[in-house]
Parts: sequence; structure tokens; C-alpha cells
Amino acid sequence: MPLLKEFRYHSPATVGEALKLADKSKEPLLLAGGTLVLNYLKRSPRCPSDVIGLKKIKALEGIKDSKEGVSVGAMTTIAELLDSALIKKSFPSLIQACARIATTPIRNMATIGGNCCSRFYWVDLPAVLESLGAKVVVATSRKKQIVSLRDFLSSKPSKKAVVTRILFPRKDLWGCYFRYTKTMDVDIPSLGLAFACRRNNSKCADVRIIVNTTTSLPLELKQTQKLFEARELGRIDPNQVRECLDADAKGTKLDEYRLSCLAADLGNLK
Amino acid sequence: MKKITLEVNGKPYALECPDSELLIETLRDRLGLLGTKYSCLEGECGACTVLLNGENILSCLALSVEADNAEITTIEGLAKGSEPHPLQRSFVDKGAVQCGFCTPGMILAGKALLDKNPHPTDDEIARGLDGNLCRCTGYIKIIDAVRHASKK
Amino acid sequence: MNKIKTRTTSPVGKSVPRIDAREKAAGEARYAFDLKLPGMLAGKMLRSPHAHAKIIKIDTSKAEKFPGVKAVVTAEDTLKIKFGSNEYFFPHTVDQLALESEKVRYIGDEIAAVAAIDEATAQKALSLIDVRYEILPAVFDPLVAMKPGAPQIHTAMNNIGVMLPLAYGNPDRALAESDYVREDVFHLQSAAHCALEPHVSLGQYEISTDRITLWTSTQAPFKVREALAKTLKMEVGDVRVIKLNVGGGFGGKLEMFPMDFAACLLSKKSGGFPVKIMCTRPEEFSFTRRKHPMIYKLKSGVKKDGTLMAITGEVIADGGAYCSYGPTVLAAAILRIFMVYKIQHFRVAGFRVYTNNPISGAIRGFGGVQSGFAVESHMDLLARGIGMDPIEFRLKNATDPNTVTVNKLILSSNGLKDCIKKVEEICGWKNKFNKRKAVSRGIGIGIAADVMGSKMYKSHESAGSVIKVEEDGSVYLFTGAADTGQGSDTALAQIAAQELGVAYERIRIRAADTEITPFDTGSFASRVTFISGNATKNAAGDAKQQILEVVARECKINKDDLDIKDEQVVRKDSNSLVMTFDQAIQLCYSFNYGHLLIGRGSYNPKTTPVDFRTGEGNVSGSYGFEAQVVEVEVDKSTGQVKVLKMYDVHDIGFPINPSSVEGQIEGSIVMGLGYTFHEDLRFQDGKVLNPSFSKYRIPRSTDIPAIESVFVVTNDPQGPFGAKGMGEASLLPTAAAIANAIEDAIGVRIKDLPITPEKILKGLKAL
Repeated sequence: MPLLKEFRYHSPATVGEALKLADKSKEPLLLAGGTLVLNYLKRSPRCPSDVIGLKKIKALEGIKDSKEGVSVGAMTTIAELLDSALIKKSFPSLIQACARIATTPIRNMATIGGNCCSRFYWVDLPAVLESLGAKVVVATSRKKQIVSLRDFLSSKPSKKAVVTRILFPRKDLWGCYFRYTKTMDVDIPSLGLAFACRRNNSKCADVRIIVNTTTSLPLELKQTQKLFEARELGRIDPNQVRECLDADAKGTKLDEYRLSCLAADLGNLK
Repeated sequence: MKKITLEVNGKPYALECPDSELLIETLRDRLGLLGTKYSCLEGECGACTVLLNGENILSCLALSVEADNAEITTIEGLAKGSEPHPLQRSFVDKGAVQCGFCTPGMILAGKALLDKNPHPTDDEIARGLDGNLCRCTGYIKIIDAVRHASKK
Repeated sequence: MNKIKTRTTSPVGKSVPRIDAREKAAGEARYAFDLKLPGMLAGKMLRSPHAHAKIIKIDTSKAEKFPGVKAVVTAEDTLKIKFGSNEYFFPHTVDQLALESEKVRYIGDEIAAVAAIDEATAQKALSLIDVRYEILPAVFDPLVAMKPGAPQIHTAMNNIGVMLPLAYGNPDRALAESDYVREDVFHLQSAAHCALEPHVSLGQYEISTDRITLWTSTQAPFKVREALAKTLKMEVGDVRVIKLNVGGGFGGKLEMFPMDFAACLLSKKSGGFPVKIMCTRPEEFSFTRRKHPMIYKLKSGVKKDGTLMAITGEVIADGGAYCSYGPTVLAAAILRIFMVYKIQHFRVAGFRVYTNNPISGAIRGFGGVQSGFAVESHMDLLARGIGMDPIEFRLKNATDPNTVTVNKLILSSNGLKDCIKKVEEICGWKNKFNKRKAVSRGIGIGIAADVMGSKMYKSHESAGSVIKVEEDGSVYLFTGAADTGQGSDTALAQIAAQELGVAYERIRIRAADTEITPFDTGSFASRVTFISGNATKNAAGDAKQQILEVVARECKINKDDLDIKDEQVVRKDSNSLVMTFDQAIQLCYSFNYGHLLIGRGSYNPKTTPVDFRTGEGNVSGSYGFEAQVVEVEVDKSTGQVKVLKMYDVHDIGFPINPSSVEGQIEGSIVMGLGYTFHEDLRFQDGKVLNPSFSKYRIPRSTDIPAIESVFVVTNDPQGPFGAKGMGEASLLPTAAAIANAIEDAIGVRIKDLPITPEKILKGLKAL
């Protein structure tokens, strides 16, 4: 029995063509790496009429550096990010996150754009990208917009918009990523913690602490961020960290296990 | 239906296949390459691993139309006649094969790893094989076998 | 024999490459999963969506008329003969029909099957079968199911399908005389086998001869044949079951499944087209077999000097909808204690309770994993209770060689104490135990024993082998033993070569085809090397005697003065060459002699049947022993446990193939790690909640600790070349050793598996 229900497949060469196809078709589906969506289609009773593959679009490829920051094509695979000297140098926390995504063959297939668009609560990249102040370039048939990742993830998903690139306007941020699983190394994370800041004479500035936990929108830990602001890492009272975390946890799904993990790693940051 | 060309194990194939066909279906059902196994069909087990332009990918998660013009290597493409690939030989010699169901995918994942990183550490080997499940061996002899092949 | 480049003579004890490894590494090995026959139809099973319901009506007329459908079968096409896996000793547990017509008892119970020209058509046809149910109240908790008034699943009173109340000595008095008594309750979860090759059945009926052939992914082709012949009411000789390469079993492929039956019946009804039915991965998790969830309540007493006085308690197992191997799993879960601990006063009652959950059955360890965790945790707690070192405690109470246990197990060779002493030495126990605190590191031990074969199947447990030596000296070994990846074909070939005196590379093997090979009960109870190995040794010995007889006549030497060693016929006394093996074979097949060389052998282990009313009897021809130590490090802030190193010392008798033995030990330990930390098949209202590898995680290459493995060689007097079985024992003590190490590290005792970060954190908070 065929594993997938029948659909028409298109491989446009430009973003414009892809958007035209999406506009025209009854039930379009934009296909990036396919590791999440093709699995979903095997199980789902739903079936797209048209699958629009993005693999041949040159504008979605490549990692570029410029004065405005770093621009990563949405079809860049996780493996390509891991191999990129520029990413390794500029965004170690992104490398830490990528290294823990799924398994080697999945990392060879999955893309940064697909990871950001999937909206599963457990995907790794949104939290770390948000901590690094990333923006996304979203193209529709009418316009091309640059929006913050948070705004993009808060907006309604559209079948007729293509994320073309991920932008990192700032290269002055230092960051790290911690990931916890309840079972083994390879599993969806029960918690992901992204920390980023500018290190100003060993003091922290512009602190961003974002976690992905049980909601599709990553959670910003505002009280805890404030605690770290203008302080020196390694010289913050762990009890204070825990207090701020408890305050941030109100009304969220951060339970004792997760708070305990967060307190441990934030308390030990150096 | 789409006309596609695949180069599988060095041989070109001109095929006409449905747009929604997965690479695992093309390889097993059309080309009869039964060494490519599957077990979960959801990208977790790695039994359907093949090399696509040299990288290990999961053929249950790849559309055949997207592999148009690509070079594909399956387990059947590794040996030269009756002379096994060094990885195949070390899997045999090091006791890394038990039930054998994961073996083709494991060997291909090992090949992708060694092609990229000819002298991996044990941790790097374990990481390179992290997409391939084995329920028999406990992985120790498999990691041994890849290490052994890397020294050749 | 010119093709052969290497010649490994005297192969027993050497890590020769597996006999099937080259074809597997080349991708040429074929599994039932890969098989396609001309005209083959796709079969699908219709399963109950309800956990407990009466079947009011089954209407298949629409499905039968659907274009492309070749056959539909229901219970009306069958003789409604029940099957079960413990028919000989527990006839009342034969409780399952291949296709149910009156009642369904779990989500997945088979009701009908369809064969069609392709899978999509078969799938569509299933949806056209109209089944009307009357939903019955269901019960999922064995403790509830045991209470009067609970929904009645079969006819057994209080849903207790199997009850084993075993008592010896005077446990009450022994407890009263103890210096320290404690009671513990342990909860063990269900788990899945996760063989990579799913269950698959390909049946073909031959109309002209009224015969059936079934290709199936099985550990026990002869048991499948027996059940098929019984339920189809055919002669055993008319049913042929063929095992090809099998992609793992682990106890999950040990019996006939309704899909085996349906594939054959559909083929018959369709007019002889072959029919193939395959399980998907979610079906594999939901509708095959699972590990028995168990509750162990143990209350035991010890003297101050560590003498174990009495063990008492209760074992309650959630059996699910049918009995399967439940009776023997329960028996093994209790009787195993006697192989490990010297105990005179004992009273443990076992209950296997029917529920409307999926069927619990055999899985690697056969109740021993559950028992291993409960008993070894309990023993550790007893030792700690009297302030005694856990290793000293075990050395004091472990069984000895050449003893008979209170329930009449005959422990002849027994290296248990040697295993404990050796593991203590290699792990550096004295410098590590009770020495932690600052770094949250700890060390723990578990010990175990296992059977090699089990007198629980039928009146005999024989296996047979045939050796055929061809004109050019090629050797064929025919065995009924079913290699499912553990390496038994290789071990048997090594045994054959060793006994015959030839190189391992000469041996070709044909195995597990019920029409061609001798009988064998199958791959379970770590029995194949021991039992089928002895049968093979006997067959090779028989062939050798035939060769020597010809040589003796030709050379006018007394036959008893000759032997074959390293491919040469030699004089026993001087080892001097008489002729080469090839010359001897040419002689046998020469004009003067014309002696066709066919050696035969069988072996029935020296056992006595177990009387399950008293628990007495010697279930196995020999016993294997094991001690395991694990070192852990616990992160007290995240609850993560890291296994630093495992030490495993195993009395394996003698290693026929050391590399294969290590492979079994490593595979067992890693499976045990999975069960300890995260493998947890979860259910809600009888439905499996995590039927996929993404939700039921099994260990990967990145989860493996260092394992140091040492063999204790005891040269079992019954075993072929001294060997014992050893495919399961290393899995048994792992969970307890880890729990014991965690207590040593952080003072937290976990009594419910799996051990999760949350349980650790909760335990730390409660300290």
C-alpha cells in the first residue's frame, strides 16, 4: 500500500513561482526537509492536493555574512549549520542546539526553516533563535516582510507564505543552550534552555533567557533575565535564581523537575 | 506521475513514478533492492538508511521525485563483486552482525561517517550511528567494527 | 573445498565469524518480510476496537463483493479450536481462538481477515465488514479484576487465570526467629520486544495435496506447526513451517499468532493464492505480546549474621486478555529464586490475572527481569538493614554447586559464588561501596541465574540434528533450531565441526524447516546451545564413527584407536596421520565401500517435570549464573542518572564462540538499561498510548556505558564441550544493580521502574 496518499508535486525554481503555485492550488503544502511533515502525512487522514518542494530555490540556500548580520537560507540543513565555520564562530549556542536535534540522518535532511515553521512545542531552534534575537524573512505573493521570530510564531500559520531566510542582526551575543530529556540522549526535549547576553567587561548585558517547554511559543523568563542583567556570571546567588524562576513559572507549565533543571544550569553559568 | 532519473549503485535508472512515492518504495518495490529494510516507517529506526549524494538519509522520509538526478547508494552497492567493502568485512569479523536487520543501515551510516571523518573517536562513531536502532548487539561490537574499519 | 581460503580447525572456543554474517552484511539475507511469491495477495486482520464486548453480528457480504477481494474469513470458516502455549502442564489456559465470534477481550482481538489483490483493497474491504458489538464493562487493573464482582473475562474465578501458591518449610516460624524482617512492594511496568523485523506471515495452501506452507518470522517453527495443525485440524505432516532469517525475536515470536492462522486459511479460501500479512510498527506494539506488568510484595527475614531465614510474599501479574505463556512466566518469576538463594522456608503465592489489556506473554528473561528487580532490591535492603555488605550477604546465601534445592532443582555446576567474588574484584568494590557522598557516585550489585531449556513445553524437550557429509567432503548440518539472530546456527556449526574433526568453514547449515529438519522446540529459555548443541554433537559424533569404521576396515586398525582431528584421521595414542579427512571421505564413497555418510543425533536433557501444585521438579538440565555490578553518578539537581560502568561476570560453562557470548551479554545489558530507565509501554483503557519508536524509546548507540565482561568457566558436565546457555541472564540483575547503586550514591531507594529523573528528585526531597 502506498505510504502516502496521492498528490501533485511541484519543484519551483523561485520563491515567486512557489507562491504562485500555492495561491493557485486547493490545498497546498510547502515542503522543506520533510522529516516532520511527511511523517505527519503518513498518519493523517488529510492530504494536500499539491506539495510544493522548496529544494530547488536558490534564494533559500546558503549562509551569508554582512554588516547587517548573518543571513541563513531557510533550506539550510541542520547538518550544514553544524559544518559552518561562520555559525560555529558566531553562534555557539545555535551549534549546541543543532548538535542535539534528533539523529544524524534527520540532521542531514531537516532544515532550519522547517524547524521554525513546524510549531511543535518540543522543537529546539525557536528558543535559541529567539535568544539570539533572530528575525525571519517572510514572503507572500503580495509582500516581503522581516518580522521577529516571536511575532512570526505568534501569528496564524499560513499555507501561502514562505519563510525565505533567518536573519541574525547581532553578532555580539554570547550564548549557550541546555537541553534535557527524561529518557535518553536522543528524544524530544522535556526542556530546552537558551541563554544569551552581551558580555560587557565580564558583566552581562541584554540578557535573554528563553525556554521551550510545553507550549509552541517559547517562554521568556523575564524576572530571571532581570536578575542576570549587569551581573557577573558565577557570582549570582543560586537561591535568588530559584526565586526568580519560581516567579517566572507562575501560570506556566514549568514544574518542579523543570525548575530544578533550570536552577541548576543557570546557577552554574560561568 | 513524474519521469525521474536515479543513479543507484552506479547504474542509471529512468523511472516513471507517482509524485507521492517514497524512496523506500521505489528502491524495494520497483528496483528490488531488498537490502534496504524498514521497521518503523517514521524515521526513527534507520533500517531504511541509504546514501543520497554521499549523505546518510532515511528513505522512508524522502520523496523519490526529490531524488531526481541524485546518486544513491544502497547496501547492495558497496561490495566490488564478491569482495566486500572494508566496513562489511569488519562487521563480519568483529561480531557486529546478529539478526542482521539493522546491518545494512548501520553499515551505510558508518560509511557516511568515515567518508566525512576518516578517523573518528568512539564518541563520534556513536554519534554517527545514532539514527540506527539495533535491539540485538548493545552497539558495542558495531562501534568496534566501525573503529576497526577506520584504521584500514 | 577449493573455494575456502581460511580453515578454522578446532573451532570451539574461537570467535569465528558468524555463518550468516556475510550475506547479512551484503544485504543479500532474505527475511520472511522480504518474500514475494507469484500471485501473492495482501492480507489484513480485522481487530476489535473495544476492550471488552459481545459480538452480536458479523456481516462480511459487502467486503466479499468488493472488487479485488479474494477471500474473507471469520470464525465461521474455522473449527473454533482454541490454542494456547502451555497446553501440556496447564490445559485450562488454552483459551484463545484464532478468530473470535462470540466475544472480544482486548483492543486488537482478531475477528476476521481479508485477502485482496493489494493492501489498499484489503484495507478498504476491512472497513466494509459490519460488526455489531454489545459493549461490556471492562477491567484494566489486575487488583480490581481479582475482586468479586469484577467484569468476568473468561470463566476463571475472580479472573485469576493461573494461581501458583508455593510453600516449603515453616516460613512463619522462620520469620519469627529472624533478627530483622522487612516488607517491600515493587512495581514493574510493561515493555515491548521491539524486534526490528515486524511479525509477518506468508501462507500458501496447495489444493491438490491439501497441504499448507507457512513462512513466518518465528522463534519456534515446530510450535507454530503444532498449533496450526491443531487449529486447522490437519495432520502435522501436511503443515510445513519455514523460518528464514529472522530479524530478532526476544520472546515475542514464540507462538502461533492469529495472523499465521489467517494467512493459511485465506490462502485456502482464495483457492491457493499465497497470502502475506504484515504487522505495522504500531500493530507490533499494540497487538502482539508484551511484558507482564507485575507487583511483588515481599516479606523476608534474616539473622544478624546475614543468614536468610525465609522469603514470603505475593506476585500479581497483569496477564491481559489471554494466557499465552503466562503460566510459565509466572512460574519462572517465582521459582528462579531457588537457583540463586539457599532457602528452606518459603511461601510465595503467584496470581496471573486476566484483564482487558493486550496479551502479556514471553519476553527475554521470562519473568526473571521482574523477579530480578524485586528480589535483588529486596535482598540489598535486607543486607543494609543488618548493616552487612551486600556482597558479603550474597556470598553467605548464594547457592552452591552439586546441591539440590528445597524444590528439587539439581544444581550441578554452579559458578555463582565465583561470579560474585570475581565481580567484586574487578570492580574494586571495597574501595567504592559506601564511599561516595561528595560526588553522588554509587555502586550496586545484582545476581541472577537462568535455565537452559525448560521442561514446560510438553512431555519431552528433545532436539535433533542430522549431519550429511558429501562426496567432496562438504558437510551439511540439518537442525530444527531457530536462529533469530543470537548466533545459534554459528554455535551449532562450530560444535559440528569440532566433533567431526573438520574446519568450521566446511559446514553449511539448513535450519528450521519443519519438513526437512529434525524436531526442535525452538529458541527460548536459553536452551539452543545446550540442547540443540548436544543433539548436533551427537549427530557429528555418529558421522565420525561411520567414517572411522571405514578407515579402520581399510587400514586394519581398531576403530577405537582412531580419531579425526584438525581435518586428519589420526591414531589416538600417537596422533600420527593415517589419512586426511578428504582421503577418508573419498574412501567412504569409493567402489569398495559406497558408504553414504549420514549422522544422526538427538538430545533430551535430564530433567524431571515440574509438579505445579508443589513447585517441585528439575526444570532444566543445567543452570547458568551471573553477577553484575554497576557504577552510577547521579546529578542531584536534574535527577539524571549516568551509568559509568557495568561489570558482568557470567558462568557460561564454556564459551563456544566468545564473541557471540559477549554479544549476548552486551545486548542483554543494554536491553536491561532501557527497561530500567525508560522503556514503559503505557496503557489507557486497554489502549497502548505509545505504540511507536518515537514514543517508546529503546537505547541508541549514544546511550551505551562501558561494559567489562568476564566469563567464569565451569565446564558443565552435561553441556556440549562444557557450554551452558546464556542468552538472557545478563538482563536480569541490571535494574536492581542500578537501583542499589543509586541508593549507595544518594540514599534514595526506587522501588518502581522505570527510574526517572522525577522519581529521583522526589526521592531526594523526601530524604
